[in-house]
Amino acid sequence: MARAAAFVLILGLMLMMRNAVAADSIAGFRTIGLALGFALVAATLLGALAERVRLPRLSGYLVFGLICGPYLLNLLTPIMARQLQIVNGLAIALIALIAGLEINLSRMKDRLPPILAFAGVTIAIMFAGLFTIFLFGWRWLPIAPDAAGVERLAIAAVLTTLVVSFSPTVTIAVIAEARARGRLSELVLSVVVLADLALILFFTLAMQLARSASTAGAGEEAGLLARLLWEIPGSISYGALLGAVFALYLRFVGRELSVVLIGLCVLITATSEWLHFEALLVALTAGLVVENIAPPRGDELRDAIERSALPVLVIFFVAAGASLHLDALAVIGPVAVGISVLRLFWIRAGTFVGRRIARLYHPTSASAWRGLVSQAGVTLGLTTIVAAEFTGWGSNVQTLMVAMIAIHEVVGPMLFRTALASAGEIGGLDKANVR
Amino acid sequence: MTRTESRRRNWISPRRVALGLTAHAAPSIIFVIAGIVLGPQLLNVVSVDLLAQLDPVISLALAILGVFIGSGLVAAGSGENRRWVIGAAIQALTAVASVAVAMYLLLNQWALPLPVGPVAAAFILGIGSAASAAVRIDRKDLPHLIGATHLADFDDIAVVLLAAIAVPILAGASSPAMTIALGLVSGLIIAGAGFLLFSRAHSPSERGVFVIGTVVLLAGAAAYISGSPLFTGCVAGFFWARRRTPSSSLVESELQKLQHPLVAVLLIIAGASIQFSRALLWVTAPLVLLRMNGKLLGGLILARWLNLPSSLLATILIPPGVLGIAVVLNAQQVMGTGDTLLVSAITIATVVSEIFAPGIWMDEDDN
Repeated sequence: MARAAAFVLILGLMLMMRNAVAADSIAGFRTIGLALGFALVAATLLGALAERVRLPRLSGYLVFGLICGPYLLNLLTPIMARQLQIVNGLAIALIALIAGLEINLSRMKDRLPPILAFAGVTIAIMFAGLFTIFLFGWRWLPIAPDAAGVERLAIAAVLTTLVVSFSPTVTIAVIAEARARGRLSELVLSVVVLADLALILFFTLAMQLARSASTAGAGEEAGLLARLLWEIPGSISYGALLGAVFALYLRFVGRELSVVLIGLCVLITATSEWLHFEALLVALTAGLVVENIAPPRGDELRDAIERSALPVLVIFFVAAGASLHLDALAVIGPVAVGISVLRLFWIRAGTFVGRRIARLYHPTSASAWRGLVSQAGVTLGLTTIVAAEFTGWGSNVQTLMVAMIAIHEVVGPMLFRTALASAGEIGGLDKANVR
Repeated sequence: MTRTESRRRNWISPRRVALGLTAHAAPSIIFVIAGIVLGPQLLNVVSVDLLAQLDPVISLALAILGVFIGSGLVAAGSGENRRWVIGAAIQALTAVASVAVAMYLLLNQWALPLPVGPVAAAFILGIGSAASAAVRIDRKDLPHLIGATHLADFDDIAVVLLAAIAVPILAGASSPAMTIALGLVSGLIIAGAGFLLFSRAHSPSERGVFVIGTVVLLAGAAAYISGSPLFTGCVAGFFWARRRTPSSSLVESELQKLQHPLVAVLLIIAGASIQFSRALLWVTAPLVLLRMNGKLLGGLILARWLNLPSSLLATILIPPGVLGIAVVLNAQQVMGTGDTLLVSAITIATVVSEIFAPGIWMDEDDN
């Protein structure tokens, strides 16, 4: 009751503010504090409510952003929604670092080969299935109906790569927030991380094919290959270096961990962009190095992560919810829903076959498909690249993908959370720590 | 008191930069110099663009200072402290008036290039000069010293109220009175929400989010309506402390960790904002003297009424508070001008006054 009253007070304040002053008429720094404070307090309350009805907290944050965002109540204006994205880089690095810290390779040693096989088969089946459907159903897709031959193949390859992609950020965030540990969490986490690596490769190749077909960027093959060779091994090496330094800090200093943790994530975000590395991979590797080479003793790091992660996650997912393009969904909704259903079918088919080939007979692995539905930032980022480079069909792909992301970002976390609950893995991390 | 003891009290004894805050020993000059070195004038690590992005940090720091001042105000509100509160208001207003009037006459006469009109500039410089930093006192200290320290502490209340009036006017609000009223109502609403939430959080991390979110909201609401975050924070801090519930101590324990880093950041921003020019010299030199004059005048007025030695009052009131710099940074924000003459002048005047303070103390001893 007290929480509901507090929520009403904060909502009332926001309405009062928005009525008193028109947000469009004021300078940037004057709106960011209001947006951040409103999101932090009110979305945390809605997240707690979501948890009470057995949904992920982050679905509460997302729905809050969606309802209060520019397309519905407009309490968070388009400018505010953009300002909230200030934490995006930090959040992605922090989430990946947490994921790395949760992966203990010696514990997973025996299960690693079947997990790799499962991931490979699932991704391959999804890719093959969706690619075939797109080729055969090309005339019904609102992308480039007139494209034929190699161009159609190239565009279909780009589209398939984007549709197949998952969201490591959302997956890791659901696991971290539910404090889940177990076979299902490990399996889904491994698949989305491996898929993310494969996606970068596929996307680069598909884009190259598209460029060749349209002759937009001929002669860039060497540059692309060099970029790929720099980006993946470079990210891993840089992450390992940062992880080693952080492990040394934990061992020999171990003070002000919340500040150092946030500082590390800011460093990863800022320097990765500058060095053209992938921040997610850098942070994941850093976490892996800490956990597997010099695991922290005691609860200090865990407490620091809990303190630092919550506000960052709240803002990150409110920003994501507020920037979901409901207008795109309205324009291209039926097609987006149709492709979402097809994607879901191929996820199920892929995991079904993958389980058999990888001989994953544990019953929890049957729910793995529910962890692979989410799509978010990575897909959106790649979609933006496509739209920027290919102004014609690229914009159509962007509209379609943005609408699909809106669906998957809301539905995905809910499905995954129910799967974790069915597998009895929610709170598993706390139980492991108690033991 | 021996000469050595007095020197120690001034240079090493920790000072409170505002009412309700814990004392700290690091002199402002260190952070201001760090700001100058890192700022656009030298290394450009804190560039002009970065300074613009740090605007919300200024609002947040002011709101947090406000919460502590509001909380300290409740502690000061007991009957026995009333005359110290009134006395502090008199000395602060005397300093504001004497600095503002004299600076207006000088600025008008010299016709220097100013970011705002001479009346507004003189008023901002007056408010920025009003705050004093109180030395930390013990129960065993002399009653005269304790009383004088209260005067240095409680003058922040006048600064908060003057800032609440000045900021909307400087921002060009269509109705400054309405903005002040909105600031008051926002502070109360946010305080009410915080009161309902802090002690009912499900975990320490959730409580941390509520406290930080509430304080960010205090800063954000004030900035949004072009009001003073210091005032909005003060209203909320007063509400929480007045209710005598765990909320107040929960907020203070969460914010305690932030207060000194935020003060350091404010001083670094102020240092980085300094733009050296001939006009700066012309404004700062008289400002230091006029501030000192205003504080001495305030001390003289109060000495007879409060039965305190005027020399003691002068030496306690002259060390400047960082609150003055914070208020002028806020004024700079809402004016939206790239000319930082007023912030530069107040920052340098604060540092110079801080350096002068022990010399005056020693003179008192020598006499």
